[in-house]
Amino acid sequence: MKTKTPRLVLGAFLAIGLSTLVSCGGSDSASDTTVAGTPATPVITVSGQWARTSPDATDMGAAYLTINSDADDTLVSAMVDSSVAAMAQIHEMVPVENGMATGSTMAGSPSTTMDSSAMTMKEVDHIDIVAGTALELKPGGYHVMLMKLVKPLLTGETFKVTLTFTKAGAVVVDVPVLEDAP
Amino acid sequence: MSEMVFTTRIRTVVIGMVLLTSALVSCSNSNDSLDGYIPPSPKNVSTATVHEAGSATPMSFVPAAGEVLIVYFGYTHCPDLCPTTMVAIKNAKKKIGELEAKVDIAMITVDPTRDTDEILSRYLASFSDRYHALVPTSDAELRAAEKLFQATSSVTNVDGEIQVVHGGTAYVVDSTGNVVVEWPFGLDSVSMAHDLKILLTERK
Repeated sequence: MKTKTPRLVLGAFLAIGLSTLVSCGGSDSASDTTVAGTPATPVITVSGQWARTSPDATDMGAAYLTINSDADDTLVSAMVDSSVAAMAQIHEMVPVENGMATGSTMAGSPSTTMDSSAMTMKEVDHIDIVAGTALELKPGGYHVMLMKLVKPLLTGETFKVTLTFTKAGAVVVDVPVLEDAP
Repeated sequence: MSEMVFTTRIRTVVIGMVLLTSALVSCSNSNDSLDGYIPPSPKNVSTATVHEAGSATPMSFVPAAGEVLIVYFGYTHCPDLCPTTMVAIKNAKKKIGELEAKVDIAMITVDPTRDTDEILSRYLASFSDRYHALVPTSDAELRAAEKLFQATSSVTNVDGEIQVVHGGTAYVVDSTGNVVVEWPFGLDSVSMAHDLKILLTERK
């Protein structure tokens, strides 16, 4: 378990339980991963998933994907096997003002920094998913950050990312490694 | 906040492009329709002095006549913004054919403690066969360069986790040493190629 807080660990256990219950999960297409739900379980569809080919000399990576759900749910963790990376976290790029990360939803006066594009990464412990509204993890926004890659992510390879949702449980996605967004 | 500014900029650029397109109907020589952001006041970076990996002398920030230099402030432990922009630049160069030879790339690391000459050079080699790996030898050297570009960055250690703040902008410098266009994060390779063609043909 590569999660940090008891809440996430609890979520993961819940997820394992639920994924056992919904072992009849189907698939809309070859590239989509859908977990069929019971009436109480949202149906999650993950599409467009990819991870960037890792440049030489870095052990950091990022994976991107789009999540759709037919009911409100919450993404609470992303995990990869320890053969891929030591840890995965959900990160968000956030704008920075006066050296402080402000959070992307903050409204207010114009930036006073010299460089209005200054950003930093922040770990997020959950992302709310609204029924019928796609949640995109994409460059410059959210990403699954892969830390301490065991080996470089090479174009053409695939690896598994396990997304855990509060209600839908665990959804395992095959993520291809690509040089650029598909 | 910066997303709002960013959006406004894009909108301004889009409106500007619409106006310019209509101007083109009557004036076919207009060459100002760059997709990137044009600095409102000239930014001359010719005096920037940053140590270059593998070189005893600092790199010149003034490209040869008819050529451009793309400058990016980043770091190699950057999984999202930096590779996104470096790949977009790589793909933009592929789109402009032989003009590609007139485009030089420099990345200044804002994290010189972790990014050694060797690490930054290997990183950049993943994106280009020609590059300048710039590793400031002092904080003053980095800040002086940032001041010229009006860029900002910081590296802080928060409970053992290194947090890096940096701008996502790529700066295009012409042979006068001026920043002629800035590419905000998210500008795609089509727009970059569009700008490079204009800068390397109509304006050379």
